[in-house]
Amino acid sequence: MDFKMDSRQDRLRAEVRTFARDNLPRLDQFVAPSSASVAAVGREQMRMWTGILSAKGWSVPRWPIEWGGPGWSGDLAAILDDALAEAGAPMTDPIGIGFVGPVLYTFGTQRQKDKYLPGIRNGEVLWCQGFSESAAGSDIQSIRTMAVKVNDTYLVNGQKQWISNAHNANMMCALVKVQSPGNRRQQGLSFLLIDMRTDGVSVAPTISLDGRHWINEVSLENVVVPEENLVGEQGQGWIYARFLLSKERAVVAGLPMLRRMLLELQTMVAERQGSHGTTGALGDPLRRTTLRLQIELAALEFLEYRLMEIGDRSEADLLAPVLKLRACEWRQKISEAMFDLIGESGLRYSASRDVTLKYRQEPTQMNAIVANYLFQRSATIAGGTSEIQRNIIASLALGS
Amino acid sequence: MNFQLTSDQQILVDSIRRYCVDNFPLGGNRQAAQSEPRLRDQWSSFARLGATGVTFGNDVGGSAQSLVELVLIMQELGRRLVRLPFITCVVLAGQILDYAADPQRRLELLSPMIAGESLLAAAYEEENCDNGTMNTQASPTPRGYRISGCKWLPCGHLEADMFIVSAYCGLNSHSALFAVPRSTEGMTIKQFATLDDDVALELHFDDAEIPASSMIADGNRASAAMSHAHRHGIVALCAEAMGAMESVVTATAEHLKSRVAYGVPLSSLQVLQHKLADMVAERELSRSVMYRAINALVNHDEPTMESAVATAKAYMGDSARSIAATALQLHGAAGFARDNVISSYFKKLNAFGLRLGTTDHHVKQLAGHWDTRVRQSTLSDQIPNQAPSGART
Repeated sequence: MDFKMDSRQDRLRAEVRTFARDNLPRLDQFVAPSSASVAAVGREQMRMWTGILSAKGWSVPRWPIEWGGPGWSGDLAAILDDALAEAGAPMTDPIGIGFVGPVLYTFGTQRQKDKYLPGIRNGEVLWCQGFSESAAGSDIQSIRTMAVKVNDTYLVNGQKQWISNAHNANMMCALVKVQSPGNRRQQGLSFLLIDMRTDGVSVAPTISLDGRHWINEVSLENVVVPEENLVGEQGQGWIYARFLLSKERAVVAGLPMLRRMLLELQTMVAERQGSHGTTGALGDPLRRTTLRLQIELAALEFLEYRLMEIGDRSEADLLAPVLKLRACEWRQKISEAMFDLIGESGLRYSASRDVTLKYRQEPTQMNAIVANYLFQRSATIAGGTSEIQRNIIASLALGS
Repeated sequence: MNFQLTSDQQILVDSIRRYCVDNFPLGGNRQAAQSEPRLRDQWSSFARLGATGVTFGNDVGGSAQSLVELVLIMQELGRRLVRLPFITCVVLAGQILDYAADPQRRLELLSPMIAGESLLAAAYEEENCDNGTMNTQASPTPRGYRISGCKWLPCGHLEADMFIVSAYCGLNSHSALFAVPRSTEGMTIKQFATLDDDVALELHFDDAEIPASSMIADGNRASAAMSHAHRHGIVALCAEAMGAMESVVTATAEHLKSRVAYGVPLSSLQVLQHKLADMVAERELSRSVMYRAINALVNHDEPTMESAVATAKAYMGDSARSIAATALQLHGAAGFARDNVISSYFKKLNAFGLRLGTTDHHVKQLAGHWDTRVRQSTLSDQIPNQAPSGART
């Protein structure tokens, strides 16, 4: 164990800052004429920004060199993410880059790698993750979407639920169960790549608690999927899904966003104290809450750093669910603190008004604070509920 | 950075662990005071393992390793609730002398300590003086100084041969540090029993006369030495708590597996599994925030060090209490018995939050400069300098 600094980290951070300052203005050409087109603007900005990063070799910082990654260790990738978020850069596609890419370059056929990895890398193809169903969330084994092998295709029928970004996605990675004709016995899960333009795929919005459209119901009705779109072996999909989910736990923690949320809350609390002329006594419960959040974020940041350094060693099996659990609870706590801070103004809420939390902007964003408060209820549900994370942690601690 | 132990570090950990198991039985009534000859024997055999010299240079008999080795040693002591005066002697007094003493005093005082032949204790804090003031005064006399006041040694021990004492000195009341032998007339050593079945000390100075040569350093050099040692002491204390947390989480998991109630092992009950999971999460966040503090001490400037150390102590003060409370709860009535080892860990982890600045004190440290940070509108981890308790000019 040593704490020697890697000078590459500082150099990279400086380089990313300069790059972001020079290139982020290129996204300004996409301006939302109305709040209704905010999502479309977001999608186009994501595409363009991924392309800009890709040209620099930075769009897939955790991928191996062979597939267009920079061949970095995890800590450098984390610094890239962090410095980009700090500069206010838009997100890149977490599903394609974070999950589908690694699954494909680890388990896919040469043809699948050649066909899909470039589109993920340059942002042209956006992905959604078709795992959850109304009766199968964290208990993914109980999905009911069925595929029947017909000659060299699969005929897929089922309903996927709570699918983030399906309305923007070009492709879906889906978990299905394959049935052989004449044999009702279900086999294990299989992992299929489905083009969202295929006949029989339809996407309907599911409006969420905050009144906004993030998630969708995806109906699959006699959807024909070519056999070559099966990843790995039929019936072994759980292996690939578990591999994907292990990556998901670390990614969904979203620490760069947490840092921005904390700074926003700190600014709000400081402004309120200024307007009330107080000396900032610790007796103020919100100030105290904010300090606790600040202290806990420091611990979470270094936990993430440890996770990056550990890479694929087995210790990561424990630390990833700990980070997921606590970072998501933290997000929820800070959204509650902001909501408390605006007091009775929190009663005013309209999902059709400005709902995007802009960091370090005017204190006019009460509507966005309410939206965030509502949205963050999903933090402890999505990507494996907090209860599931605790099950995993306990099972490792008990050695069972 | 690399968080895996090197083979040398693993050997160090194994040897300290073996030493602790051989010399310090767990459980039983730990209140019984240790006799001085026994502590002396333990201390010299501990020193023979090289444990006292890891952070000091070869010139004084140390092995010039790093803070990491010190942390590894403290974790092992904490894991088994070993009562050795390591923090006050090696870390606090040792770091003050290493930082501030002139070459001759440094050699004279550190070499025998590292060799296990003498015991030091740091006396730079005063009870409930978190606000940075101190009441102890050293008035110049023709032959040296006359000290009056009372020092608080939360990690102290009765057998110290030499105390490193801080006091305000002279007309402009700057800080100064003195090496005061235990036999000094006018100095009374009072021992008190602690929450965690250990002993700590108060030093009462009633016009104690010390020669001019006692002074180790004064002014900024003295303040900086105390801040430096205090930061290292806090990290060492955090490492000790870390070791205790590891033991207590493991013991709780074992208890859940072995205790059967209503025909099933407790470990099969999800409500208990989830409490265990929360203990594990707290342990790992604690380890992370402690590593963050080590990183700051190794790599960063003083303001960053101060904030990282205060952050670690504040986070771990809370998590130590919460882990201890859950462990006690999950052990049921058994853990409530004084002679059950869980009750000893509970008290150790609670006392941790009270030594070298309370949790509240460290939270206030961070609060004091938070507004500045917001005003500076920076996302970096810079929080302006804040000296720890008892370490002001």
